[in-house]
Amino acid sequence: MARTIDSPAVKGRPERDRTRRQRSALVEDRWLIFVFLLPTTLFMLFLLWLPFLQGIWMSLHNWPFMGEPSWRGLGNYRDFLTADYFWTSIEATLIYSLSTLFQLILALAAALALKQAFVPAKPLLRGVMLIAYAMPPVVVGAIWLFLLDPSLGMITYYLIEFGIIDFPIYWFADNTWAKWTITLVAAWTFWPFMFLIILSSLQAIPQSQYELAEVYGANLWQRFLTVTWPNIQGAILVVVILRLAFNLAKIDQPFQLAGGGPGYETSVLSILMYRFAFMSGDFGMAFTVGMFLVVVTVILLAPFAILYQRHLRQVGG
Amino acid sequence: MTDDRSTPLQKILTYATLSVVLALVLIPYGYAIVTAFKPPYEVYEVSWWPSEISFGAWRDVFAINHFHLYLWNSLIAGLGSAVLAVAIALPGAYIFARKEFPFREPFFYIIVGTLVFPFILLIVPITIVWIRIGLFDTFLGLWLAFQIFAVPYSMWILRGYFARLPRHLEEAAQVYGCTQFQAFWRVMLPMAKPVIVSVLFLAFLQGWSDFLFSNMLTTGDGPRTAAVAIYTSTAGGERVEWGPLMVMTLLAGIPPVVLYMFAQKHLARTFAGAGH
Amino acid sequence: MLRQFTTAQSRRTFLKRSSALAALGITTSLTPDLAFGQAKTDLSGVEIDYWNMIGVQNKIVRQISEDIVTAFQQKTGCKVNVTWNGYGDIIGPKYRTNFTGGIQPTVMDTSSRWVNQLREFLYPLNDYINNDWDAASRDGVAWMVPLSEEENRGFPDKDQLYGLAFNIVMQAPYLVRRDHFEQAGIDFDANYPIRDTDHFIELCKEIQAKAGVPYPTEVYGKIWDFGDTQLNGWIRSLSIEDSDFLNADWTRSNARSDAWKQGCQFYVDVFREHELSSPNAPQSTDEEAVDQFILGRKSIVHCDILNRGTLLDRIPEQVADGTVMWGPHFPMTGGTSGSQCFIGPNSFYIVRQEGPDAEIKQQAAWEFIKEWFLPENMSAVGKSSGLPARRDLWDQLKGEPDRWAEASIATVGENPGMWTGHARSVDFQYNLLAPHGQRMLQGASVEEELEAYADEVDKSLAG
Repeated sequence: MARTIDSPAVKGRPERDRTRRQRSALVEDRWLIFVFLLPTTLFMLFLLWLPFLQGIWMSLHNWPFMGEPSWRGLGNYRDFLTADYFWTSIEATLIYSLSTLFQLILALAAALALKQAFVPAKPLLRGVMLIAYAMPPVVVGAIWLFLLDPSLGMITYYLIEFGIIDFPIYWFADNTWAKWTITLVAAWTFWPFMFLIILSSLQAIPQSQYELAEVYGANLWQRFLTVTWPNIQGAILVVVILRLAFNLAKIDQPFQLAGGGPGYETSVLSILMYRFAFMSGDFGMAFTVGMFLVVVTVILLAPFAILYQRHLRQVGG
Repeated sequence: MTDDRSTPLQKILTYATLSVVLALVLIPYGYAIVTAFKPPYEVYEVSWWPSEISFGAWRDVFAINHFHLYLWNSLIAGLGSAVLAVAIALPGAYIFARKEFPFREPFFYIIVGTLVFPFILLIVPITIVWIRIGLFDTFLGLWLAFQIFAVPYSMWILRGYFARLPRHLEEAAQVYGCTQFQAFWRVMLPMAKPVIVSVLFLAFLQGWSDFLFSNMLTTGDGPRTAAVAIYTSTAGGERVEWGPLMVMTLLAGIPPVVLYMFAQKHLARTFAGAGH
Repeated sequence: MLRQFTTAQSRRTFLKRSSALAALGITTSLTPDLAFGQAKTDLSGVEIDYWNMIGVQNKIVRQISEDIVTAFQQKTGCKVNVTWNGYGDIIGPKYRTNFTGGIQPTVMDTSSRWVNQLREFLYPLNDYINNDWDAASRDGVAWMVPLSEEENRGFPDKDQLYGLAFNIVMQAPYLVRRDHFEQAGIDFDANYPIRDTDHFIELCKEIQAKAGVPYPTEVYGKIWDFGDTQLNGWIRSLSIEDSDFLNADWTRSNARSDAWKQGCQFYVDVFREHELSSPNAPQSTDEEAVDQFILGRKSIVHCDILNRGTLLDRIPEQVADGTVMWGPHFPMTGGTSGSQCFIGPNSFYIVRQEGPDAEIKQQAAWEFIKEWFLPENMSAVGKSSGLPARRDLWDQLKGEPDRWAEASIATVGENPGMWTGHARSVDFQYNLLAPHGQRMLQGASVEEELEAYADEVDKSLAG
């Protein structure tokens, strides 16, 4: 093994025994670490962690937008937990986070299909699949508002034409439909993100592994289970974690579609936060809800993060 | 490409799946495209082919809403965001992947863990700070704001990739007399091309599609992006003009797809294997 | 982005643009000669920033806004930087955050009830109005002064006039389709204007039964429209002092009053009991209803007069031949208060300037405002967007086949209300109220929901 800075031969040696060259290499090493880490650290510290900590501080106050704060201790938390929209919001949030599952199913199916050798025009098809994610979510939201409109929307029109329903469904006026509609529209919008990454992961599986499996007489399903699945687990976990986190923080599209209503039925935690912050002008409550959102996010993400750590260890990362 | 040994079952499943997915994607989007070419009154009828191809909505979009400017702004916002994401995340990711130092793991997860943070709450503090330090209504201000959600996951993806590269590369370079930094610059970076392109692309999409931050941090004269323009011109007064909106969706969707065509290959190489 | 007219671009561009407006009978103070003549130099070298909001409503108003700015620039040589904003920018955090950070315009227009969150930044206009304006204009808007004081009654300096009402948006006249009446065999002239809510229900039911219109009208549940269209007028027709969101001294919500209960109950009944509104009611908006109306699928819809621009754009022939008409808001049956309307004016504001050229910038802002208040400009905006604040111009606006001016003037009546200008009025009128409204429309008890809403408002006032 070469005698570079990281080799045990250098680092293992007591300080005073290192050659001058090795010592200066060590210094350079530390310097490199410092300089390389600095931009990221500073950035995250000032732009994220400080406001975050300040937010926790604000959640303990009654803090009007641009006004004078007054201490409330855990008052905001108590108010939120006992509010009638607390459970409504949690339920809406959990249902909305299911869009991640729908995205995964769609992405996996499409990626597997597109990986097949006999499929033509692959680059074109891949590009087409990407479209929904390529547009700003508010644009996608606007398209779906148009398509789902009970009186002039195409979807309503065909549902009635084909006799599936007799009367237009008022997607956003019905408590249950509203929640599921925003979830499904979110799924339509964001699934390509998962698709991209899963497909890339699929494409890198060496053909030899499949051939080997065939030699052993594995059928389609068995090949999937023993070759495909282990190889894409990592990618799946990565995208699930990312999309769960991002979906939970989404506000613009669901608010545009349903306005947080009817009542509070579609006021997922992030929307509730927005309403408190910018419509009631109450930053204290907004950050309180924000803390709940962080907790919910961590709870939902934790199992996948743990699985991911385990996966890394298995693969020797 | 090996010869095709797939079974009929495979073929059926594949084509069925593809049809469903393509239908799901193309039918809504296709209808939007068709609507973009309809004369105004026909927007309100359900038809798949305009009775006459009308560019009225297109004219409105460019003449009244000056949309081309906003598209350009979006492009700049996205590109700058992409470049900055790599510039900020890359050095850090490399260090986290290759170097040992105390508290490395917890430190890494503190940075990546910011993904769980609801970004909307940062809008006001950031806007005020930006105004005070003169970044308000500037591209640089937008680029920096987008980093808040671009850097954590860029770092995650980058680190994973670096960690998987063979160790002996830098060591070999140093045997030949390179310093640490030179080893990084001349050996690692070129090898990291796939992941860099991937992160560039994903960060670009973030900047291109963002609405909340772009809305707060820009005014009409400044670098207002397409996302904001679409919203204010068609829904800001709560009156939605469907025709022009569909045109804008077309326009807003195409550049990223084009960019994807270039980035595809690299995306594949990045997420190969276990995706750490 | 304004296009400056150069001689090169010439009359052709100008005429093409203004002919669209001219076809609608709309002319502004931007004349062909002014458009590409030399700029005068009263204020050359001065630069002001203008945040426009009125132009967001429809294409026509936006074009008019552009023209007025151009005219002003040409007349005075002053440069105007325009930013086009929307309602969401002031209802949301944008304006307040910008102002606090130091990003402010010199002059702006917005709805008066949303602006008090920015009160400390504004510059009172009393001096300008009294000393630097022609008598005709001043007298024309004098009627708004006491109303403005009522709107700002909770502030110690309520006699300071920060905003000058430009455009009166009255809530809410209704649009009505003559052709549906005819199809239902109803004598239009005998039944127009609608007298009261009983009469309204009667007509709707007739149309529903005989003209085959499944949902002749609509009540709105969407967050921005529930407490912002016809409901408030109905409440006011029952009781003037209980009709506003807050009581006289801004200490309690009025929502527990009988007027509110009756008004809301009727609103809900239109949907749930009489089944005259579509099932979308909990999330309906008046813009959607207007769309339906334009398509001939609704007969009587309440909406902002601002929608006239949309009608002119989409169905100008029906406006011209009187197929679609405007009618004045009507009281609840038995409501004798004599008023059935709140007004939410779009007003102009000058932002206090600092520094050496503060004086001249504020003066320039005032000159700009005066340009907007020229009769031709006020009328131009009025025709697509609401009654001008200058009463003296009202008569000349009458006589259109769709009777928009008559309906608007009658809706305003003698004693219109002004919504509270409390700094948190956005919260009270939209954010807190709408969820309860939506639940009522879904079948919850009107009384309970109003109690809960009133509790929330009181809590916010106390805290």
